Amino acid sequence: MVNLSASTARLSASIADAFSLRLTFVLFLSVVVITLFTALLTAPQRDEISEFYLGNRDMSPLRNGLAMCGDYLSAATLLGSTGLVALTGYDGLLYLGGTVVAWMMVLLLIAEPLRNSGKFTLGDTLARRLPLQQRPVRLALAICTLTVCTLYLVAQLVGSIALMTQFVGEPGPTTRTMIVITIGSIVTIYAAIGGMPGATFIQVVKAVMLVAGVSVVAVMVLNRFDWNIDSLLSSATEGSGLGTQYLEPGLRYGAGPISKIDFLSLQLAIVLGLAALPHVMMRLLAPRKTRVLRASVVWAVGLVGFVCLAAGVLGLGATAVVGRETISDIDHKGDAAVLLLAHELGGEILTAIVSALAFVTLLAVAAGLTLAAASSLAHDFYGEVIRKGRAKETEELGVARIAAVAMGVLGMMFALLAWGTNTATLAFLAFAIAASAILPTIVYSLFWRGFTARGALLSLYGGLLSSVLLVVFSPVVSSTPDSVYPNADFAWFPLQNPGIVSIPAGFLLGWLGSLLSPPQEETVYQDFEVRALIGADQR
Amino acid sequence: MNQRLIGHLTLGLLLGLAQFAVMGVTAGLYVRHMRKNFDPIARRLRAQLDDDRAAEQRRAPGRVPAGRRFRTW
Repeated sequence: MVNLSASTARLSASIADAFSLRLTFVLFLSVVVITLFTALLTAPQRDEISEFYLGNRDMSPLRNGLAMCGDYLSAATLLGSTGLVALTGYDGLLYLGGTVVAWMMVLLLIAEPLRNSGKFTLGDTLARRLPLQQRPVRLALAICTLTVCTLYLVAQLVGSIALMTQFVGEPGPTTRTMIVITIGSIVTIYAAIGGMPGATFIQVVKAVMLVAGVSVVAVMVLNRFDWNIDSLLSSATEGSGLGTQYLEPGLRYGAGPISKIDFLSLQLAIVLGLAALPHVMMRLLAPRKTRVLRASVVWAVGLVGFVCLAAGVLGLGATAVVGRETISDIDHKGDAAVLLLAHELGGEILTAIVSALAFVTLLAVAAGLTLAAASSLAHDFYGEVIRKGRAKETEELGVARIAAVAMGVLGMMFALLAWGTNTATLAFLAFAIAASAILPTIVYSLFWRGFTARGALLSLYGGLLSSVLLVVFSPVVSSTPDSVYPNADFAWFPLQNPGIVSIPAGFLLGWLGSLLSPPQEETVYQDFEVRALIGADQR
Repeated sequence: MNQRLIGHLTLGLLLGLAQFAVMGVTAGLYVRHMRKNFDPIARRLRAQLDDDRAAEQRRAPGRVPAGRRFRTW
């Protein structure tokens, strides 16, 4: 018994040994070197902003779909969701289902009209829809985009520290600073120099690696159970030590009505927030033809669905092979589940491959976010609000590159300040803000004739403020041992996720603001509608 | 939800899997619908728009764009 607990203690200090860590480092470095060189080679040369913002517009649907999938699936999906499945069984699987549904919304509602009516950023769509007051609307949109991107970027960088913790135990201040600055600088170089072509390349590489990686591990898990799903399920039930409860709803979100509403709120934010995430939206604008865009999003749906199914298998496999107890001993959130599973199935080499994959995943998502924030700052804020549309292309391009650097530095600073924060909380807040501030504006401007600039401003600022304030007064910030200020108690809002209140609030404010302002000229909406439906710019 | 169907497969798990299938079918139906009913109309309207623009150009051949007509010197 003593022997067992001693070995568990050693395991919790570091999952992998020095060999594995070194191999991870080498693998990660080689991917980074290759993608960095390609980013430099494919960087926009002719100083055209279109190339910097949208990249190669004639890519095949498969490559576009891979890039979208790469932008969306973060390290949180690879480590966090599988850990959730491993620890909470059915509830974790339910959570995975939600992340895929989000893509259906993009496919059915947003993608095609947005591409047809847009140009470089969402701000261009809004400017076409609300031409008279485009500047204040663009400013509000840039602020919301910046908030969402910063939160999500910080989540990725903090995630890199959390990932390092799996190897070397709690990292000291020097290690922390070094990791964040290394990852942050690589991300900044991709975004500032490579622009969209560079970011696309790393997304595609990462998506291919991710899909290949999870399928290899999933096949190994299934092979271990002789391709018998039932025996996998029964071993997982056994390994969980919870009996049949493991495959029944309620382990995580069944504690009471508040907990159930919280889960609903989280799922709402995830399903609705995806369509409004700036870095995903930027991908939707890239294809030149609507037909190509549709095929790309279908590819993305398929790939994301596949990865989520495989993640379910990995989570169940981790519990079946490693055991729930061991996983939650090492990391109570379950982030170590996949790494432990890989170690059990394929030894040090597979562990190294999976952790290198997690680092690359994190890097790629962060690059996409930095680029999205930089384009919004340069195009909407600098080009249209400060210079009022008179900026030259080269000038705007320079600002975009500077903005990418500034964004990277900002992200690194926040990540170093908030390194102890829970990655998932930050990411979910970003989703909630996107769903409650940016989504109402997109939906209204695409589909509602009576939408006005005042409605846009109210829903953008209102959705942003309501979701941020609700989180500030929630258990995330105070009153529980896990919160940022555990000793204070000003949490009058009981839910961890603000979505269920702030998303309706955003839609309501947009509707109210539009009702209270004088109606817009009819012809503007008619022109916009024709454009959004048929996409007049393509042959 | 917790009713066992086959072995350890419960109704809840089956519904979760069915969700993936429903999504696949929905995506397929959507693509088919758009290709059959929507794209031809969009293409026709786009062609019409192009024709209108071309006709406008023909009606006023050689006209100097309004901005350039009166040049100050």
